[in-house]
Amino acid sequence: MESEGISAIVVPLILLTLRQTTPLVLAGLGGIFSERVGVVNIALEGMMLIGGFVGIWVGQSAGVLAGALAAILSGALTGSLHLFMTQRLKMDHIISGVAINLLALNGTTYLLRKLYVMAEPIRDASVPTTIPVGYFIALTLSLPFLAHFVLYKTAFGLRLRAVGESAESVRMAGLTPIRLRTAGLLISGMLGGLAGAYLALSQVGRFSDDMVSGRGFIALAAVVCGRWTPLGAALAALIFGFFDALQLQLQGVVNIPSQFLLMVPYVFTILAALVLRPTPPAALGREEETEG
Amino acid sequence: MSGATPEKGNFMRLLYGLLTAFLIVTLWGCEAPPPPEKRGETPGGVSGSRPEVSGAALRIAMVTDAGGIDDKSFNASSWAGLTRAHEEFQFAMKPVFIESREQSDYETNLTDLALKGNHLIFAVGYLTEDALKKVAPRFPDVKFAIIDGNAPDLPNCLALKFREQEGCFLAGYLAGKMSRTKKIAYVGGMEGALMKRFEVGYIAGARTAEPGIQVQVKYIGNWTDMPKGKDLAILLMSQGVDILFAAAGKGGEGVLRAVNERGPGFYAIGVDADQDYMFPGRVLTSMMKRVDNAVYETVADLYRGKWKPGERVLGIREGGLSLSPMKYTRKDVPPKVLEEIEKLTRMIAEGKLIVPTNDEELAKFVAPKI
Repeated sequence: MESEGISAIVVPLILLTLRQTTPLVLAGLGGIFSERVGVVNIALEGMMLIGGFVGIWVGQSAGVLAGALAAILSGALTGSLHLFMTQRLKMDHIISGVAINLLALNGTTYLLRKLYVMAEPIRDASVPTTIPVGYFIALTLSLPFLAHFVLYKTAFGLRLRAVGESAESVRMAGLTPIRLRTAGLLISGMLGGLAGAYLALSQVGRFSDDMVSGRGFIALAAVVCGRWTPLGAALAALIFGFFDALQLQLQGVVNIPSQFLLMVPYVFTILAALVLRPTPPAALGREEETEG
Repeated sequence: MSGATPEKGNFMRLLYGLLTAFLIVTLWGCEAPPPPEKRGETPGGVSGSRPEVSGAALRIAMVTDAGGIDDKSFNASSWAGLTRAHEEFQFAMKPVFIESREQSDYETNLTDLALKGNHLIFAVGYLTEDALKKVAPRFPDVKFAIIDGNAPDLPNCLALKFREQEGCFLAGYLAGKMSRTKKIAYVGGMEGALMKRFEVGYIAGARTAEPGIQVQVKYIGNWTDMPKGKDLAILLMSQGVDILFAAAGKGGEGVLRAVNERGPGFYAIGVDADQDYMFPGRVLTSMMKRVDNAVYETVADLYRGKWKPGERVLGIREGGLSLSPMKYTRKDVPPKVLEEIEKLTRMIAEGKLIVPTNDEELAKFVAPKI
């Protein structure tokens, strides 16, 4: 099982890269569908956490596939909350996102304690069988192309992108901006929930508090580096995933402090921001009248 | 701008209010202790009016580190010690805990528990050091015990420390003897002096068992990333590592899960608490840090009115560290190896074997004759 030369190192590294990249790509696509309709989405982290928790909770009694479906729905629900707060209440998008993240982190931790750890009798927040990781990797390899097709080759995608540039012009064209934003946020939430389902139901098989550990933010960094395009974001996520896998492989082998390698995604983001000068959708985070 | 009508404004205010209330409730965390009876303390905490309390009237609390009460190791073990003390001494008030998420939570949580009238507060983990330094002087009547960290030089502070390297040495020795590929790994949470003791002790033990052994050293970078712990373990096993010592909080549980899924031929080694039960047969042993004993004894001392501030360092001799009883795996270990481990345990307890604590000492370390 070892020492077949270079492939003994490379194949596990590729597999590790794919496993690390999957949640970033799924959540990153979620970020795109939100931001392309003009809503800043730092709530991805929270969407993933809620998705993961709900996935395990439902998955325990109704099976893992039902769990994954519930995770997707819970993500959509979280997306609607973000939509409601940013569009209806005109709350600042960042504040709404932070509120959702805090709510998700503390809410899932609280429920984990109440329903599992401190319950009588103690229950384990895990599922006996997991969804094969391969399913999610296949999704990761195909969804960016599907998202690209939807956004750039369909009328629906054109409208989504238009509302992210200017709600006013969309209204002039006889469409209702809020409906498009609703669609974007629902898709965004579903993908965020799916990313959480991957972590909890497939990759680990258990929910633990803060198991997302910042992946939502890295996914958002991938969105920026990928200039708000599905293929670009997926590529950026792949690079982040690769560097993460590489630093795990190199630790203790070469004498580079691990903290240094852990910085890579962030340094990369700053560099990309300087070099690529990505332009966000024009209406991103802007307060506009979207109803009526 | 959007011309909100008065009704709409009120509606929004109500929603903001509800949302804020909800956030506060969730941020409060679980197990909020009952409201304290007023003892006339000022918010600053400088009162001097709280009488020395011992016996069943004691109120005890703990602040977890970011690992949370559910880490199945360090925090959980501390809590087990408190629970055991409560069962034995039947305090009028059940002990309480507050979980911390971030560095900034420690000071708030410690202050909060001190203001709520607790007599003894445990601060779990070295990350609470700075917070304790700020909070302890403000509450001279409240006793603080920090686990794994340095306590400020005050009559109300006690530091409970461990010579982890001693227990890790035994775990490393067992791993070295049991590995068939002669490749083993250590997976830590975050690098630092404390985790270095784990790492170095483990390596020294492994080299004592098997001079040519290869020990891979990896750090996850935090204590919460269970998915990454699992992925890292999968990577290591695919490269020929067959025994993995996981000292990485929840990330460590990810390592255990990966080993369990891989199945026979691979072992994990648990940490802090006896984690053997989690995956029977796949967890070779656990390097038990008897935080529960240390916590229990500290409470017992205070209960009997024998509180002593300062520092207590526990090693194998003091019963602070040991390997788990290996309930599920003892039958897989050759009796000779078990005998050797007992002998090493005695050597360490008698001070005949000094286990290295950092890289320099490890470089100079000469494996003992058994």
